[in-house]
Amino acid sequence: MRPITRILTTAALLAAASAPAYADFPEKPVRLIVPFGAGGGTDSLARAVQAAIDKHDLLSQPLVVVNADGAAGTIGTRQALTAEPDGYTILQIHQEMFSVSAAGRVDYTPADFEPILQATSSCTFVAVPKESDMQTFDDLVARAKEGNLKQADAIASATHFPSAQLMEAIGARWTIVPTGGTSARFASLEGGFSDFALLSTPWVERGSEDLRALAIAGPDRFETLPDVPTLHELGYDVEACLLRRYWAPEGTPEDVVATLADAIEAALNTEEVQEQIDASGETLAILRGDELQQKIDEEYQSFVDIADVVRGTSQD
Amino acid sequence: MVEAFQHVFTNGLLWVLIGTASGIFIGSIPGLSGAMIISLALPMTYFMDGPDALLLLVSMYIGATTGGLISATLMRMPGTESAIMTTLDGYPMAARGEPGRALGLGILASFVGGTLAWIVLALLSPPLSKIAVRFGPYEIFAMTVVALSLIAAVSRGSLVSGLLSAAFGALVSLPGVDPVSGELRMTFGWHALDNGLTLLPVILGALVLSQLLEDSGDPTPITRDRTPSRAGGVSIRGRDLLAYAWSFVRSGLTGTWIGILPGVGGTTASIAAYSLEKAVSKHPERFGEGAEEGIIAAETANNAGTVGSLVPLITLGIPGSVITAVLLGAMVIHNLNPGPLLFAHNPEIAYTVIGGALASNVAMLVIMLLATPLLARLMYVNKAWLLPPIVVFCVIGAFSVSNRYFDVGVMVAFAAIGFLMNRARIPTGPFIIAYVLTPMAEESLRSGLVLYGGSFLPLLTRPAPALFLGIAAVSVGAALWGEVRSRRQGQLS
Amino acid sequence: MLRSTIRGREAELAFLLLVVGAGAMGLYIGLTTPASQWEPLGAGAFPTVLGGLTLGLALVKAAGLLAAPADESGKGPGGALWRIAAAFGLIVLYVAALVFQLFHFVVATGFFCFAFFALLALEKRPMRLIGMAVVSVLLAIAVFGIFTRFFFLNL
Repeated sequence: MRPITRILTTAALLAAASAPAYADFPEKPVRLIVPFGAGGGTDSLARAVQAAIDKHDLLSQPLVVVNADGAAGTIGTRQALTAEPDGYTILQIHQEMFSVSAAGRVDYTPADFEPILQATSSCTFVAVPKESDMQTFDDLVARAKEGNLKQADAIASATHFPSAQLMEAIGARWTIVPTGGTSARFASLEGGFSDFALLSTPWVERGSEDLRALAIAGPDRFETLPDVPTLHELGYDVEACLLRRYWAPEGTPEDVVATLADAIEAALNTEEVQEQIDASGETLAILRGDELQQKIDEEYQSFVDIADVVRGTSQD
Repeated sequence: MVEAFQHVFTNGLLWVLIGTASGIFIGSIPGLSGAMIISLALPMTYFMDGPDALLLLVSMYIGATTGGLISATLMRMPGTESAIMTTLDGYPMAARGEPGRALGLGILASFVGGTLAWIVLALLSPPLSKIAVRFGPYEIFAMTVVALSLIAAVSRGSLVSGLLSAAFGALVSLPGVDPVSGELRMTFGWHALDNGLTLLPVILGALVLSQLLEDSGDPTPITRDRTPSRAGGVSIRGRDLLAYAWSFVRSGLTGTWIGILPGVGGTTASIAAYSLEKAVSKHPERFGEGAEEGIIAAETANNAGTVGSLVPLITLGIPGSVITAVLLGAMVIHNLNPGPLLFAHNPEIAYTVIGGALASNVAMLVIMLLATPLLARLMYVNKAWLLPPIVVFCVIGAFSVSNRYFDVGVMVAFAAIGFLMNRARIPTGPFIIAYVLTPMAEESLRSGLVLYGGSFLPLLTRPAPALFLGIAAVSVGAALWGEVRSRRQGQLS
Repeated sequence: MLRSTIRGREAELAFLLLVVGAGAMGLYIGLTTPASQWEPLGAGAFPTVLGGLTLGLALVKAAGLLAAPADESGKGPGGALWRIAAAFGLIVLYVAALVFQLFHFVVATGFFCFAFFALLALEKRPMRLIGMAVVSVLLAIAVFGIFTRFFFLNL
C-alpha cells in the first residue's frame, strides 16, 4: 500500500470510529481455526476469547472460530499452514503440534508458523488409584525399576513425550497402555487396567475420592494440593503442561502479528476470560515475541530429542 | 433434587420442548445428524444458564435419535447414524402400505427404550458405572465380535456377497490415523486422507445419496393402494407392548448396557440389539422384510443407548459417545465440574440431566404422535420436491465434519459405490456394520494385547469375553448351518 | 461364453474389481508396514488380514459368478437409468463448483436445486418453473444464512 493511501485509510478509519491503533488490519473477519471438536479445552478458550473481543471491541473486525477437527489436530493445522499469510487465518493449538511433528507423522514443524502469543498453561499431575499401594512418587520409581508398571496414555500425544522424558530421567521403561484422552485414562485407572496416568487439573477435584496425586508435572505446586511435590523438587527435570498458543502462517507481517497478539492479550485479561480460565483449572501464561520463540525452540528440541523413546523403544 | 425436577418441569420445560422438537426436526433430515447439530449448537448455549443449556442439549440428543427413524422408515434414508438399522425393516413395512404402523412401532419402541433406560439411569447409575469401567479392552472386543457376527446372520441366502460387503466395509475404515499407534496408514501420502474416510460422509454417501439416486430414476410417488385410514394415521397399539414384550425388554436392556459402556453409543447399541433379536427369533427370515421385531429392536436400543450414555457422563464424567463428549464440554464451560463427584457437589446438575431425560422422552412421544400423521404423508409426496434439499443438507453435513470440502467428495464417491452395490445385489448392511465396528474391534484388541503382554488367553479366561465369544460362535454357526440347509433344500427342489 | 457371463452383470463385475483393488491395497500396505516395536500387533495386522480375506472372498464370488447362469430377470430396481446418470452428473457438477470455488455457495446451490427440481419433475409449465426457481433461491439463501451465521460453518 502506498504511503498516501495508507494515511488516508488510517485517517478515515480513525475518524469513523474509536478504532484501535493498527486500524488498517483487519479489514475483514479473522478466522481462528480450532483443530479440535466443540466442547474441548482448546475450543472453550477460543470461544471465550472470541466473545471478549466481540464484547470489548478489541479488533475492528470480528474473530470467527472455525472447528476443523480430525487426525490429532493435523487437519486444522494444515488449513492454517496452507492459508495466505495475511493474518486473516490463524490457529490455536497446544503441543499436539510438536508431538505429531517430532513423531514424524507430518512434514511440517513449528518453524513453518509464526507464533503470535502463548495464552494459558494447564499442567498435569501424576495420579494413581486410591487403592494403589504406591503412596509416594518413590514407590512409583521403585515399581518402574522392577519393570512392572503400566501407564494409561495416548500414543505419541502431547503427554506421551513428557512421559518418555520421565522414563529417561528415572532410567527405566514401562508399558504405555493406549487409552486416549484424560477421561478415558481415568476410566482405565478406575477399572484397574493401568497403574498411573498424567491427568489435567480438573481431575484434582473430580478425582478427590478415587485418586491419589503423587507428583505435580509443572513448574509450581498446585494451590489445591499444597503437600504434593513437583517433579523438579523430586529431582526429575520434567514438566507436562499443555501450553495453549496462537499461531499464524509463516510470512505473516510482523505488525499484523502484533495487532493480533495485542487483541488476544487484551481479551485474555478481561474478567470473563479470566473466569473461564480459572473455571477450567488453567493459569494465564502470557508470552510473546522473542521470549516465546525461544521457549518454543527449546521445547520442540526437547520433543525431538526424546522422539526415539516415544516411537517405541519403551520395551528395550 | 425436588428443586431440580421442579425447574425441569416449569421454567426448563421450554428448553426441553425446543430441544426435543428441533432435535426431531434435524434428526429427520437426512444429512443433518444429531452429533453434528449439537456440536454446532454448543457455542450458542454459552450465553445461557448452565442447567438450561444442559436441558437444551440433552433434549436435542434424545430428539435427534428419535427423529432419525422418520426418513429411515419412509424413504429408506437414515436421518441419523443411529437409525441405520431401522431402514432394514421400517422401510419394507412402510413400502408395503403400512407407513403409519411402521412409524407407530418405531415411536413406541423409542419411547419404551428411552423409558427403560431412564429407570436404569435414575436408580442404578452409580453401581452400574462402577461395573462399566471394569469392562476393559478385551470385554469391548468380544462384544464387538458378537455384533459383527450379525453380518453372517444378516446375509443369509447370500453369505458370500454379505461377507464380501463386510470385508470391503472393514477395509474402508482403515485409512487415516491408526487408532492405537497414531501412525498414518493407507493414506498414500495424501494429506486430505489423514482423517480417514469418516463416518458421516460414508453413511450419507452409501446409504442416503445412493438411495436418492435410485429415487431420482423414478421420483413419482408410491400410489396408495391400501386402505388410507391405515396408512395415514399412526397406529400405536397397546397390545404391541404385550405381544412383543420380550423384544422390548431384551433390546432395551442391551441398548442401555451398551450405551453405558464408555466409548460406545446408540449406533452400536441398535446393531447389537438387532443381532440379538434376530438370533433368538423363531422366524429370522422375516427380518429385513418388515419384521415388527426388527423395528422394535433397532429403535428401542438406540434410544436406550442414548439415555444410557448419560450414565457414565453424570457419574464419572466419562463421555460414552461423540455427543456426550460435547455435553461434557458444555458442563465444563458452564463450570459444572462433571466427574465422579457431580452427585456430591452439584447434585442439582445431575438431577437436571436425569429430569431432562425423562421430560424430553415424554415430549418426544407427544410431538411424534402429533407430527407423524402429517409426516406419514411424505411417503406419498412427489419426491421431486424432497430430493434437491436433501442433497444440499448432505453436502452441509459432510462439510461440517472438518469444515472442508474433501469430505463432500468422499460422500459423492460413496454414493456411486453404494449405488453400484445396490445394482450388483450386494447388501449394504454388512458393509456399514463392519465399517462402524472394525475400528472399535481393532483398537480394543490391540490395546488388550499391550495390556496383557501379548497374550490372547484372557479372551478365554475372563468370564465376559469368553461368554461373548461363545455367543458369537453359536450365532455364526447357526447362520452357516442355515445357509447349508437352504442350499440343500434348493437342490432338492 | 465370456459375453454371456458379463451380460446383465456389469455391476457385479465392477464391484468385484473395486473390492479386489481395495483388498490388494490393504494386503500391500499391511505387508509393507514395519512391525511395531512396542505392541504385539502393529498397524499392519488388520490391513493384512482384511486384505487377504477380501481377496479370498472375491475369488469365491467370482467362481460363483462363472458357475451360475446369468440371471436376466432381476436387473435390480426399475427406474430410468438416464435420469439417474443425469442426477449423479448434476451432483458431481455441484460439488465440483463448490470444491473449486467456481461460484459462491448461494449461486451454486440455487442453480443446482433448480436444475435438479426441473430434472425430477420434468416440468414444462412456465409458472411452475418460476416457482421452482424462487424456491431454489430462497432455500439457498436460507441455508447459507443459517449455517454461516449461527453455526459458524465456513461455506
